[in-house]
Amino acid sequence: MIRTLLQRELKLATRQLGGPSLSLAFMALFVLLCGLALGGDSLASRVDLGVGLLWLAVTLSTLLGLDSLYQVDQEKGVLGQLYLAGVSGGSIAIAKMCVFALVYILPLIAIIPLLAPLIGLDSKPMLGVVFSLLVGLPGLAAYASFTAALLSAQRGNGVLGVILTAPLLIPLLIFGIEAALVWPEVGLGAMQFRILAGLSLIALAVGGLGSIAAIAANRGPR
Amino acid sequence: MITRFANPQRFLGLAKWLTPTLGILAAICLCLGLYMSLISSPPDTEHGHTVRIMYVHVPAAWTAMAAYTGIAIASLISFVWRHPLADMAARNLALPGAAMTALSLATGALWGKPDWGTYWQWDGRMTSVLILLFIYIGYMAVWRVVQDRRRAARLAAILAMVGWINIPIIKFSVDWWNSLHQPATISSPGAPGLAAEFLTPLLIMTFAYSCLLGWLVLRGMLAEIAVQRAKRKPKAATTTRMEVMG
Amino acid sequence: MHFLALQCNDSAIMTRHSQTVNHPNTALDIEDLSLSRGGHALLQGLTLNLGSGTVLWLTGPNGSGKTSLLLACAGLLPIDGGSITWNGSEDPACHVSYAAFSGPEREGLTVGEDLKFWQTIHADQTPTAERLDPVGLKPFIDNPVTGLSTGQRRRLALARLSLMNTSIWLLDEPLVGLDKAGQALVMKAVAAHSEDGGITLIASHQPLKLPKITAQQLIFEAVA
Repeated sequence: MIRTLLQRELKLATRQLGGPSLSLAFMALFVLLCGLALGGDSLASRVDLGVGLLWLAVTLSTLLGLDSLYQVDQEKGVLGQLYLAGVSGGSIAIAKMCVFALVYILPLIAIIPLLAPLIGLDSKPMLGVVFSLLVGLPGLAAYASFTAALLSAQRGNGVLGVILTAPLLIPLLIFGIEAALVWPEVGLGAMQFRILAGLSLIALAVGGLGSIAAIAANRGPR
Repeated sequence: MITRFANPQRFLGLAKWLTPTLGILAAICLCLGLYMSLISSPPDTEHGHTVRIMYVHVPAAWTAMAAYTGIAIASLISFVWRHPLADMAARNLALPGAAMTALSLATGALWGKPDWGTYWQWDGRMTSVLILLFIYIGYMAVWRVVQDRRRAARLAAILAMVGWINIPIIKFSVDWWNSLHQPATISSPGAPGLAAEFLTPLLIMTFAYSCLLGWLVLRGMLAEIAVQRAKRKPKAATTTRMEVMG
Repeated sequence: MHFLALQCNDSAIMTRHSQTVNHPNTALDIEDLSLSRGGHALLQGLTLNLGSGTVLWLTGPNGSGKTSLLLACAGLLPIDGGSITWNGSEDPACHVSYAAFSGPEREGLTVGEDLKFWQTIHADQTPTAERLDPVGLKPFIDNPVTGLSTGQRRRLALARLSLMNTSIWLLDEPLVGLDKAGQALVMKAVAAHSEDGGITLIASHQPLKLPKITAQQLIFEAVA
């Protein structure tokens, strides 16, 4: 069942790439603006600022893309039809989270090597950012899915989505940045990485259950 | 226990005497507590007269946390038993809770200026309370944007529970982050000594704040019930009848 | 699962392959139902016990609660009071098909892909083309959903209905936007479903022309 849902979601997502590519453009623009506002050279001289900036850029770009995740399916009554077909909310949530991680968040992580030179980040801390984001990916996707499912029947509430999700992402943000900073010396075994992985799993569980509850509450038309 | 108060009639009976009692208690204790904390209690040896801010600040922070815990518990009851009184309680806790959070932030900043020399310190506790304020704002916004009342109750309850699970995690993360980035040079103005002459007004003020919170919530719930009763039509808008097509 | 097969040609003949009744003990029981939408009370104390083969036509002015009743019967609108049971079950899933006025088809998929998805979800083994053929959409199998007209979307909804092996059908304005042949297709499908023992609730402003079947009518009237 999850495979069927996943195939359909992937087909839809890859054919309508407007959302993901705009998120990518936003992320690049955000890094550019930060370079201009804070001074590219001062960013280049502080590794911790560059790392924090990249984590922030990925998080914010993720939040911008989340409102489309469930909205169309809610509006068209797909959620209701799946419920009547006996498809569990869990299957829907897992499919949505996977597709969101693959189509929205992974490309954001993938363009980090292109953006790192803009803020003078060397390859070692840059790889730290990439690895910590990959570890935090399940948590990011789960909370994005949770808020998207919660607001799926509300149109044009992108800003509210950001406000609801951002506080939940603070632990991931804190430990993600710290993990990225210690990666060049300590590697993946660092305590920060282990805590990040734990937080990511907790987020996956809480966000997943929250998504299921929100899907059930929003299956009817608004 | 839950079904005991499930009956709105029983709740109304309870609220009828509890609301004024709490209101009067809050007023008396606030007057007494403010007199004791602002006038009769001695200044602290370390903080001087600024310690008096504590009597307003600490109970506000405690009540803000208590209000959110109340929202989470009411949300759980509303989510599992779908009890309308529970989501009414959760909804009416939000605004007083957010106000308490804002009050504790404002008084904290006012206290920080003389003691730390700055209004804002990236201290674990202050940062967590600021995050709590955003969680309150998000929670109230969900009640506002969702048109259908039943769906709003459902979604707000889900959000409140997810937020509640996250609060200790956020607190832990911010504390940890703070320990890395803020060398502990500044003495945190927490509980000073807690001698009886400080403790008594603090406890009275906490009790007064709790009564105030209870009074505000009950007032909000009673007002909401009154509005709903006024709106309720005696009859449904549509009747139906069956016919067999010829 | 050939419980019904539709054929689309000029006379829109439908034939039933199977002579056995597929849904012999269908029951939709609505007891003392109260409904409201957006804080407005719509219905109070509605009791309906519908048995196998019933076709119920819901008529009444706009806003009188027809769609809300259908949604409640699909478990998609929370009820204020009373109860609804589907074949004795508390859960509508797998008992009910609900066709809203605008369907769940997604822009970005082709007609075939969209129908195939629902076939997989409902474990329907029939080739997708055979499902599209009776409703006249076979030539459009590789066309994007975006290009379909209103009537063609209704036909797609009918194809979707035919692949679900459910006993209770809830149809919201199934005739709007359809040409004569399309309307006849819907009527034949409903008649066949009724003969098969299924229950159908239809909200429609257009009269039903059901062959050989007597429908009951539920009239919604605004309270003066």
